[in-house]
Amino acid sequence: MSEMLSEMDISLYAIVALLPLSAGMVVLQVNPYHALVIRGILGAIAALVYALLGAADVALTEALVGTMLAITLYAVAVRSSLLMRLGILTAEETSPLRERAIREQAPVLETESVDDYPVNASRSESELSAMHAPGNRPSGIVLAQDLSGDSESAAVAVDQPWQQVLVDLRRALDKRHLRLEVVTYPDIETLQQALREKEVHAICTPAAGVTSGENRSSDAPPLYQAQVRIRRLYDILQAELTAPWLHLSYAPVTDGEK
Amino acid sequence: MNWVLPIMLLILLIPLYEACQDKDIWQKMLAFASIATKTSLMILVVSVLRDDWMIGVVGVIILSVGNAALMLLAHVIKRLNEIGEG
Repeated sequence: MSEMLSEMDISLYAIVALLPLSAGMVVLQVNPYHALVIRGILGAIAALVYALLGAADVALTEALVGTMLAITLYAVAVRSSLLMRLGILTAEETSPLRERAIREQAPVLETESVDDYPVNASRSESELSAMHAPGNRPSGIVLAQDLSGDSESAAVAVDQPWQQVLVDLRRALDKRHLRLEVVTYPDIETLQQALREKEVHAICTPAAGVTSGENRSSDAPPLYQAQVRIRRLYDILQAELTAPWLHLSYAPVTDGEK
Repeated sequence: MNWVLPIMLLILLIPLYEACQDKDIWQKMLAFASIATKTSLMILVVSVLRDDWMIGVVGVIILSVGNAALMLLAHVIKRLNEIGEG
């Protein structure tokens, strides 16, 4: 048998050389899930090397524990830790809330808007920015214009920035291999409660007194505001999110407040 | 019969290279499946060459366990993608 081993020496050394090669591949992986798969490959090669060197028991243990158990446990651990939970209000709740706000403000504004700003679907950009200027902006004048326009297009205009916010958030988190999980809550109190009790990492709510959709100019106030309770997450999002329609704020939650 | 092992080693390098360069996680899983099967077959070949039953039994067990690990990992990753899209 030793004679046969010496004949197989070259290929044996080559096979043993695969072990540091695959270990280096594991170390160089950036994505944790990719690293897990490569770890499985490392386990398979390690089992092969151990078996070739005559340690059948070690090879069996490597295959059972090192490959199967370790990978499964790590996959579950990575999956539950690399996650950002974002609390929002339910979709049924957010849009009617905004429509109700529009409706409440509309009667007051109607007289003003008819006099000063003829309601027109195709308003030029200069007029819009004039309306957004802080001095001559009666609160909610743009909302009245929304009401008079096509209600369906207004609804779409309300929803679209939200989709954009989600897309932006996902893109920012994808760079760090984080996942975004959206958790819905029925009203604002339970949402704040969830943030306080650390059920979610951040909450996102429509900002108060904002304009919607196409009426937004570049210096308009943000449509949504998000409160992040983890400093590192806030720093990451602050660096990645440059879109004007989401305002981020850092809201640390201390255990004493509970 | 000693030329079998170097050839199997060269064949093993193909999925290893594939796992190294691919960005898609399912391609990596395919490479993992390929490598897990190939290594356990190499163990079986060596056991036949050496006429060693102990290594042979271990090779058979590793062949089945490698596939089980693959199934478990694939299931976790599949559920991960479902949540990510939804």
